[in-house]
Amino acid sequence: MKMKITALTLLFSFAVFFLPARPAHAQGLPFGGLATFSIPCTCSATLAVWFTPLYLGGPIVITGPIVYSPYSTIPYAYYMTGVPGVWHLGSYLPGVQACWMYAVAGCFPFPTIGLMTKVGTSRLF
Amino acid sequence: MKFFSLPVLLLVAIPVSLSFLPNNIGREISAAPGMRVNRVMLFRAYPYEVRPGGSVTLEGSGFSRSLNKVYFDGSNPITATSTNGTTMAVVVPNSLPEGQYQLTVSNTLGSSENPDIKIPIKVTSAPQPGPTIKNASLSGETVTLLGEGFTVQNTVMTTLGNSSATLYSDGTTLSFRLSELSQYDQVKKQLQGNQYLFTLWIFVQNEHGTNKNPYKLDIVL
Repeated sequence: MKMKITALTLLFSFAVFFLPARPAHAQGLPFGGLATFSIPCTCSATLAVWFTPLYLGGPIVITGPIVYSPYSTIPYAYYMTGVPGVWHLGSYLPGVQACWMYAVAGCFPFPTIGLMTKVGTSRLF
Repeated sequence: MKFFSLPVLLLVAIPVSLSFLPNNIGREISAAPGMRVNRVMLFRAYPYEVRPGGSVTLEGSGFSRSLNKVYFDGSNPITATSTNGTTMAVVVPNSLPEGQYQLTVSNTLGSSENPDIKIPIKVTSAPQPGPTIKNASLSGETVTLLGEGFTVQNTVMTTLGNSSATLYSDGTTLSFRLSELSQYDQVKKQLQGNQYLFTLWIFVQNEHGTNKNPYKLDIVL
């Protein structure tokens, strides 16, 4: 029995030792806002969703786009991401460049507030 | 008790521990955040104008750490590697005649070729640098950019959309009105008379390329 406990302790010690320290924002910062329109990111096949107003947790209310990625953003009910007139609540990674637009001579990075990691929405009406 | 011998513990513990590492570490091919993971994509090549034998940086997603082939108009392949899966430096072959070339990248994920998206570079013996924005200011509805490399025909690309017409510049100054931008009316309408803080990111594009990093201008809309 004592051996088992020692072995299990060792096992978990190894696992914890290799756990990297992750900053809180790696999981995403909170956001909430009303979607007003969406712009397809033509090169990256993602979607820049424009919010007015947009609440990022501070005292100032802003307006601007956050990117929804069909490849990495986790959607929650009512699954109406990007639909105008729908309220959104979720988390995002600030400063991540995930929207590339095509313009005559190649693509350019369309700067946004960040990349949604997860998002839930209200119903349309 | 043999089951818990030290070698067995190490065999179990190390893979379990490594599974907590971020997704991209140790992978042969890495995707940029938010991008499709099983596809190679090419977004831009910088600078646009380059001399034969010069270096170009490619930005995209799904580049391989060990082997990518970069094609110039579908031929003249060269091999390249990427350390992070999203950027890659390539040297333009010395033998390439002057002219514009569409770039594509291929690796084990496939090819970046897309008939709707062309990623060009211009091979020339006298490359000109692309535009650079050093300062921007807003007065009323007019944005004035100060910089270098502006030409007589420029296009502005911003978070509020692109300029509808080409914009003239004397080389260092470029002005445009916010209302000339393609999405300005749509954004303005949704504000319903309220004022919001807004970050306007600005690119300038002309025949010599596009500024690499956008200029950031905080405004109140």
